[in-house]
Amino acid sequence: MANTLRPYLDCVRTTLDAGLCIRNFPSQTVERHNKPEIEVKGSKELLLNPLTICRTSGERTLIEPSVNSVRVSVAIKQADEIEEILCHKFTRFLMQRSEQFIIMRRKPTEGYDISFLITHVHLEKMWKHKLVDFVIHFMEEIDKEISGMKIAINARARIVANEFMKKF
Amino acid sequence: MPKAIDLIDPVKGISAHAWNKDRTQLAVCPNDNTMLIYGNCQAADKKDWKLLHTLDEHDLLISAIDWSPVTNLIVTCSHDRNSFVWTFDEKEGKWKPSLVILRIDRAALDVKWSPDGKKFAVASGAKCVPVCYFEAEHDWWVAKMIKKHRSTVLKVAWHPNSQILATGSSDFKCRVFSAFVRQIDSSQDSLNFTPKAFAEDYWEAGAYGWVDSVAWSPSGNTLAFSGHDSSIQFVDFSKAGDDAPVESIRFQQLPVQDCRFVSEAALVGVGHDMNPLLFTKSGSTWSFSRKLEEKKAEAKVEKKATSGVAAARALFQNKTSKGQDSAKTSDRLTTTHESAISCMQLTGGGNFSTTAADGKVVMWEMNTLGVDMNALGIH
Repeated sequence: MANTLRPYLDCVRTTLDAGLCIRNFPSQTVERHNKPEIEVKGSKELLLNPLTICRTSGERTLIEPSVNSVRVSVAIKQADEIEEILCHKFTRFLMQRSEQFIIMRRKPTEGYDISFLITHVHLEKMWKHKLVDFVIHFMEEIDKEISGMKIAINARARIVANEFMKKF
Repeated sequence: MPKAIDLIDPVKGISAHAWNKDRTQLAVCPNDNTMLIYGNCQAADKKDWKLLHTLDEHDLLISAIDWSPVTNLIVTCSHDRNSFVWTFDEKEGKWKPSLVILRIDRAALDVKWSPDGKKFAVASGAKCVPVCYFEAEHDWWVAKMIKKHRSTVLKVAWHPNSQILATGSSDFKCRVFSAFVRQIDSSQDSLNFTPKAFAEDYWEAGAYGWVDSVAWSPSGNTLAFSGHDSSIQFVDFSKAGDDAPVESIRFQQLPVQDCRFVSEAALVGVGHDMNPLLFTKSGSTWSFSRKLEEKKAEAKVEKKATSGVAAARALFQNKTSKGQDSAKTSDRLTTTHESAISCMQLTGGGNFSTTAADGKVVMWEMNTLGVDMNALGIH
């Protein structure tokens, strides 16, 4: 991991650790329902202040805690058009399979590339520190994955161009 | 060292627990609509515990259980908006439920018997608190409402005189109400407040977060309530009523979800830190003392390899017990509980028990935790 990335991820980790103090909280507006308050936003007093952690203007994380759920949205670095396309395709691929990632949302929140929704149910079933590890690991890997794919595309483009130019 | 018993599957966890009077039986809810009653719980080994009853009268998750030492009745409340009072039928050897009409239209979150065992109070998402008492002529439990909350009520706590009720709510307020019911209580005792009728509020104070827990000291002179902003407030009602001094302590650890006084001068708070926090009083001021659980020496269980196959196996075994981020954090936590502690009960002599979503029941004996018992006045 690059040294400049470390403080950013550490900051996300500590914020998530504090934000994930959630409890089982049945809905106070709808009878016999239990919904993530951060999605419903029915009562103002049940939401905490959202926090944005920025590394650059393109790379940022939004953490929105509430009484029984936390929404984590990540904007992934996109330096040029190829990265934009790759990022879009890749996150789309992941989000179509979101149930396999358990905490992933099917749609990102506005202005972000990918979102996670962590509820009290997840914390009851899984270790909190491992959940945080997963989010951090994901953020680490997705950058690596996209730059890896970009290199692969460039390499392929070069070979294709080479082969094509042989004709002349 | 705290004594942990892996009672329930960690994937399910425990949402609430309660002990009988002599702590030989334990009622737990494994995070669903059933209540399990275990017997022979004084035994140290889980194998000797016996599952005596499985009671599944509720429709949804049981959020709280309380077992009265005076009347030996169990009261449960659930997200299905109902409450049951369970009576033990000696002849049949069974627990008999009796439904309590709470008259609330949202989930019930907490229930507590009054110390005299004649009433119980239920915290609810309907922004009110039903206080129930038994009416012999109709043979049922009647609920009277305490309103005035502006959000879900998270916790209730009875004053030792059984006539005053403290509530903690997610509207950032802790309130103290009169719960004097003429039909049940003979003469009114209102501390240092001017006596008020049922459901009138004596006192209220704010925190900077949801008030997750409230507790009265054994004498009833001090009230403590914890906020979700990692703070705990102590209110001294011994001299004044309305303008009682409030002492606020902010601590570094994650917020407290449940708290109890273990003596007049010591309070234990449990919650998201997974490690009970001890607050003590010296002179007239309260302060954060310490975490009750010392850090365990990290147990390395890397197995020695004797043959090639065993070496490969050990390699993978060690991998499974390590996280992907093993350099930074080890896989196992240093605390006994592995998820936020949600329920705490006193077990006498300053000892207490806790349960969490990791399915463990943990017994904490104060004299083994390196606490100065005399200074805290624990007998």
